[in-house]
Amino acid sequence: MSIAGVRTGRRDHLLGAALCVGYIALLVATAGDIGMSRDESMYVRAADQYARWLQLLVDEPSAALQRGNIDRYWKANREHPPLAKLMFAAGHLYDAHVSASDTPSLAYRAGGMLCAGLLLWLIYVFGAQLYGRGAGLMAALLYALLPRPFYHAHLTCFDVPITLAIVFCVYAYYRSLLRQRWLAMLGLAFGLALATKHNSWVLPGIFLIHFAWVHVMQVRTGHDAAARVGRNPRFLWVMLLAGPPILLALWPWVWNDTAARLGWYIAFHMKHDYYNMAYLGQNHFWPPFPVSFPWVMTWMTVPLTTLALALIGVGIEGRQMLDRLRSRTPAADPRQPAVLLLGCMLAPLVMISLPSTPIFGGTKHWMTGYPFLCIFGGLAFMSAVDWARPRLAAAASVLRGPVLPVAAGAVLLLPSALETAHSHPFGLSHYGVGAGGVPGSADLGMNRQFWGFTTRSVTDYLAEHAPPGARIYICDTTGGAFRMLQRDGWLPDHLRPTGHIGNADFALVHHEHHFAEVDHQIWSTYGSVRPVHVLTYDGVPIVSVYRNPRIKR
Amino acid sequence: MLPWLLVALLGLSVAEVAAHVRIRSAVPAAADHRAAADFVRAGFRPSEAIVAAPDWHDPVVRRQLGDLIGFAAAGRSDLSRFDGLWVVAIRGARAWDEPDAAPDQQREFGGVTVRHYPLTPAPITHDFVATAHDAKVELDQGGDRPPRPCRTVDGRPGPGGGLGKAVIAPARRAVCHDKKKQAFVAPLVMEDLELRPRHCIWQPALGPRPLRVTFDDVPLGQRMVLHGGLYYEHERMREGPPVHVRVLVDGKPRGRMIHEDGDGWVRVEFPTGGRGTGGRGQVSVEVSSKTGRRRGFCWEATTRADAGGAK
Repeated sequence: MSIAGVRTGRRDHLLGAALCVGYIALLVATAGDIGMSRDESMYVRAADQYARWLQLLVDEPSAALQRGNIDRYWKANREHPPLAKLMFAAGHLYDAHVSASDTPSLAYRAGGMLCAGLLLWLIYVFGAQLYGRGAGLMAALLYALLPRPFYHAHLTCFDVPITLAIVFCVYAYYRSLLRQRWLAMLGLAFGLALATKHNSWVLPGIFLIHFAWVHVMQVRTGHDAAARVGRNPRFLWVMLLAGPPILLALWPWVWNDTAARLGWYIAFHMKHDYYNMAYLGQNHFWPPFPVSFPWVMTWMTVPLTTLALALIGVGIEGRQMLDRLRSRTPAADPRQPAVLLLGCMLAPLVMISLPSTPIFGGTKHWMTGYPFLCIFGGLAFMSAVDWARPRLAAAASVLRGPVLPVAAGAVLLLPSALETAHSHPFGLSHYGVGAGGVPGSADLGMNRQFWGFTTRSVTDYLAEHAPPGARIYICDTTGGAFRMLQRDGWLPDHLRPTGHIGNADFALVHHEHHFAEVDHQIWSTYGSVRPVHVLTYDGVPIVSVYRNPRIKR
Repeated sequence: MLPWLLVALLGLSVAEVAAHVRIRSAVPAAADHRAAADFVRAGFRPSEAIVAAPDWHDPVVRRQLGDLIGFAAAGRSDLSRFDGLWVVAIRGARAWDEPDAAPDQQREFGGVTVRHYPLTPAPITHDFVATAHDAKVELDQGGDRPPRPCRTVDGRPGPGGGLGKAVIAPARRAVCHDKKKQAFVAPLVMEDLELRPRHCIWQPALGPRPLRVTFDDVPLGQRMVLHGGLYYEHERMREGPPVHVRVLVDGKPRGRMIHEDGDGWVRVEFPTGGRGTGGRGQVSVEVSSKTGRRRGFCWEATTRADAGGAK
């Protein structure tokens, strides 16, 4: 029995749109629990600058296009291309001029949440076209209920937008192999991906490898001339010709000194700084990094049922491919989508496995592979249901029709739903059953968090105990992130962030291995090892709060 | 097999849910921690140490019992200063320096286990960290020039804090250079190469000329046990020159440590030249290195009356 894709239509897009809207609603409802993270605060600062430039462009176009103003407003965060930050700026401008919400962070985060919702829509459509509606729906839900991507889906960051952009590129490339009108969409998608994040640089290489494989398989198994993928890699010319101009057009910073500024941007990422990351009891800060890191982290952070489904999906496709090779039977789809999915799923993990690639971003750096993992999961789900249906339905007539897939899908999604619900709002601190849960991950010496976003989870304590005008040493949280907590109403305005432990009334420590240093600085300065409050997650310390006994108010 | 794949997957799903529930239900309740802390508090004596197991559980234990945990226990190099040890453990863990012997007391409070061990303290005759503020601190000037004394201040702690900042100058310290924030000597808690806290005397190498700390009228005992190491970030790249530590008793070299990057927290032991508990003398500890850049050294030492062999 093989699972076949369907031609998607309006009803499918309605379902995709419902997934999109539902997910965004869930993200909006839960966003307030997640404090602004370190990187978000930097992108908010950049978005504010870009928003000012956009305002100037509307008010005085000629002034906005002067080099002095471009440099002034676009220098911020020039190590990343502009598209996602333009979305964040648009959210902020909308909020400032139209909605005036009382949670400004939500306005900046709206663009990322929109991308997360659109990603589900796209996963559903892509999955349905490849393996049928049940598989597409299951794939979208499996992705929606991945704990770490659920956390990232809330943020003013690039990781979810680039995941959307890459999946869109893959989809457009796949469609373009038999329908040339999709080439234009591929060019546009690649340009947008380039303008979102540098993860996109590798896409032409992945597509070329896949394209070569398609032709090898066409030679080995044969195909009708009408159904063949052409020999000319038109996709490549389109990507190379359309992608960079779109990046340049969207990024005013590189309109002047183009070669030098693009060169600086590329060099920044080719020679990126290394930051600390705890892994299996070691604090890694310098290459070589452990090859096993992304694989073990995936095992520990993706629900095991989802992983099992994905592996079975890969196995099903692998077995079918071997059968075809043995029998020299052409595939139903000459574009060999399973190979494309597998390549896109594995490529980010393989890249992070290279000992020289920084690992400080944790799972977000290979999150772009997860939509494909979930599509394989959808395939396995529907295959398992189809194989089981005749036997189970014979035993119990109630299992005919949609009851079996709905009931089985609900059970298979239950671990993901539980883990994701439990991961909130700690996201980056969450580990699943593969690690023995959060306490098991602490036993194993895994990274507990980064970005200082968990300050949000001690705001109630600070609001209650900090006297007026108190200074708070905010550890890994940035001043911008702290002020956003105040703007959102989670912290009183009278509290002041400080970088000086000795002058602070309260000091925070975000527990990561290497932040032990800050604990010890506080002990020595305050003369005590006793925190006044310890935030825990499943018993594992996340944030310690110390009160400075030397300052009396 | 394949027709039963769905059943197998459903079984995996149910097992994963069960494991999730089991993991969460095994987390000790706050009441368990409080009960364990009350038990420790009732039996604790100031000459004892309280430690957490596993290490990551430490903040929770310090929240409950931190008023009973001094720097000597939290930043211990060994257990030689204590005559008793309380281990507050979860998840069946043992402390890194927990004795192999059976505890004389053990109580379970839900998921929290308290174990108590009687210890035989080392016959310590002098603790250098405890008397660091009484020491004379000076920077060797080389040649015939007299050493330059470091200035004692007792005011506000140094500014800053955070990653890569090594240590914050405590309120009371001997300042050896006005422009170099970390060119001071003071007892504090520093993280070593394993990120463990170490209660020690911060005495960085400021260059080839030794920074010297001198203690007068020290009960010499028979031997001196010295632990030392560099601040985590100064040592972890393993690219700095060795730090030389020389110990002089009444002006005569008696012990030394050559600390190479990567050595971590190192123990050395040597005879002081004293005889048991009666002899007293002047002890100087000199720290130097080829360069004064990123050579944040910290040490702790005791003199002991016995001939050695104990930890």
